[in-house]
Amino acid sequence: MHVIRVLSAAVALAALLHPPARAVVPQPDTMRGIASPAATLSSAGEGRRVYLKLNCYGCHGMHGYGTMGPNIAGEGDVTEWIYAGGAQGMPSFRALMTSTDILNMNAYLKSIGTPVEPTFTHWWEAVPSQ
Amino acid sequence: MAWRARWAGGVCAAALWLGLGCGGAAAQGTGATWPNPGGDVQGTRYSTLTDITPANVSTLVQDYAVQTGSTGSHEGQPLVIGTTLYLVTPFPNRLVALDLANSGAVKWTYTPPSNEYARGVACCDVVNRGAVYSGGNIFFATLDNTVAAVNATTGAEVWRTSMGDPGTGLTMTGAPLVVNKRVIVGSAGGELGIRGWIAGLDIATGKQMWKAYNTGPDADVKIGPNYKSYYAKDKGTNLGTATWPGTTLWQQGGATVWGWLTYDPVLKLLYHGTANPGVWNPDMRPGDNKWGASVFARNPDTGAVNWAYQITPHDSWDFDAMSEFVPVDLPFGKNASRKLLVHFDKNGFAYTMDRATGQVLVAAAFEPVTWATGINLTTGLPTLDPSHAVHQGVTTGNVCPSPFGAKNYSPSAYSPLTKLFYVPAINMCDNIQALQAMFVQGTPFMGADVTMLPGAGGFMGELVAWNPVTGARAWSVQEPLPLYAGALATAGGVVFYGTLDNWFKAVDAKSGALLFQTKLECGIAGNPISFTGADGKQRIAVYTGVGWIAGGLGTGTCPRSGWDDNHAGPPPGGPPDPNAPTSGAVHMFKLP
Repeated sequence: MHVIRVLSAAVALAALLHPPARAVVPQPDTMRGIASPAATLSSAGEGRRVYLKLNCYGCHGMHGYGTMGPNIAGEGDVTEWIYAGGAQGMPSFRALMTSTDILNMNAYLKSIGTPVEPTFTHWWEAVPSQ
Repeated sequence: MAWRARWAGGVCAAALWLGLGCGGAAAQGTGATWPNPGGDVQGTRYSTLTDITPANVSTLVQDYAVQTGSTGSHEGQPLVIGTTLYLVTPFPNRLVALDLANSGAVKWTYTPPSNEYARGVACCDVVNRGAVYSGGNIFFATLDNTVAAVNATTGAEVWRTSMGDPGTGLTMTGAPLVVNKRVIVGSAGGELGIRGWIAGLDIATGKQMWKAYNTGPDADVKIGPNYKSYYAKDKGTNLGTATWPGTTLWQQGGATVWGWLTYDPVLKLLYHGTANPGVWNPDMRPGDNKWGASVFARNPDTGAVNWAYQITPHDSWDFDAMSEFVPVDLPFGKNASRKLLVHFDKNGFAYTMDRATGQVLVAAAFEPVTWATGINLTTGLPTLDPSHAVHQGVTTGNVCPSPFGAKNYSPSAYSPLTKLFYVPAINMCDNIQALQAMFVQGTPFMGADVTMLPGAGGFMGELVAWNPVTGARAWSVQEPLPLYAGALATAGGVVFYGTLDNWFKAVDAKSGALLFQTKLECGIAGNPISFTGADGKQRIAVYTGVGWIAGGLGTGTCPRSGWDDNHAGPPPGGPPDPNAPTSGAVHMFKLP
């Protein structure tokens, strides 16, 4: 948590210099009934859940290797990107992710390609069946 | 008008010159010039030039090639007016004028400001599908959502209009069409929760004169008292909301207009299709989801809908209906000449319609189809195969066609000589599972896990010659890779097309016999055109340049970029060639 706070300060400064490109506006009726279940998985598993829930796979691929967005498999820390977004088309996810979510996301990205990489797709199930 | 076709012959010549045609039919085809994306406003991609024939096309040689300085798929086609060729590069979009009387030397380049944010929200490569010429100006849209008018002689900007913020997920990739005093443009971005629209801008000022959404209340769609539909399924009030029961997802409902626009000068109707409804997960949007995967006939001056027909209700397979709807007049049944509208859908069916009413007269599969067994001509509905329905959390196997469609953006060509359409087709299927999805503005709103599969038969691409009256193939040429580039038909009796594995080919329009092929430095995702060179002789031009999506279909990116810059693993075709070119190009061909 401490690490995140330090990073957050740096990111906040970066955000002042490079404001987040877009406010995130979740649509209420698409949120209903699909809130994430309580955490039941490993940190990497919960990171995979967030990765799918927030549509990261749409740009970075189902396993992080990139499609319309860059390859982020194995990335160590994407906190700055999550907070500030990117000038080449990534919105800020600051309003949608907790610090725990970000830690979990980093754990997931580091796990890609390793024996412990979670690969499920049913992120909306408490314990994903697939 | 001066750029329209000039068919020789008798009393019809003057009428044809004016684009009015004989006996109520509009002239089709282009001659010395190529002023519209599809050649003529009908989008036939037919050249009336006859220098190049089946007898001599084998001697075709490259005159010269000019690098565009851009990477990514070069999906559109150049324009030619007089002795100047105009090309629009992939993003960042530049309009470049080349001097055909001076081996393609650059006359000028128009470079509008660009917003890099658009790059990251473009679902399917940073493509541009071309420009249009009218009244001394060139008009084109940019990926970051501006429409520009540029003086064709000087390259000076006449006006530039912003159509929206790429931060919302909105992009523009389609080519405009000019009809009367309107520059017609459409949105892309359906995979990012954009509510699709089409708009008409004033040709002189760029001011938006009308804008119609393709989902939502009738007033937004511009369905009014003059609207009519041939089928009961498309009749009713506010179907753009009522067919989304229990949800307001029509507000992120896709149905964008990223494909081709066409116009019938006789009926004075603008035709355009709409893309798939969003979100991809069909269980999240019960109902027919109008007007996704539909066709509209609109008044080009006002946007008012004359008729509409939903091609794929409750589209669950990404079957955009954005491909061209081409007006042609042909003998049909007891009619010596019937005003038809011909369309090859991503869903695998070819539709021959009455273009005054929207009635489907012929519907037949032009590539393998598993999601439906046919189209009921009485109801206008597809007869679904329930085993290929898509649902959340369940993998549905062997859906044919795949989300690439039986035909993608790549436009067909039509020859009034053979009365055949020439269709660049794709033979691929997929396994698809719908996933729960949450809308986050500016991110992909899809909810799908898709695995692409080659279709049966050992080939993934096919040039299909199609009879729109009988709904049957005349012939086809199989290709190992999907055809992701358009076709050109000529009055000389030759059909041209390109392949992703670098071949530029010519076949006999009557038989499909291969007459000419040459291997270029990169694959082809662009559409060939024909025009008259500065020496008065026929030329053929085509782009090379394949970006990450088209390259992912088998060859990798060429020019080298995109995939290898952004992606960890090589594309299916193997690792990128370090010696590959670093720019796309436009190639010019001529007879010796």
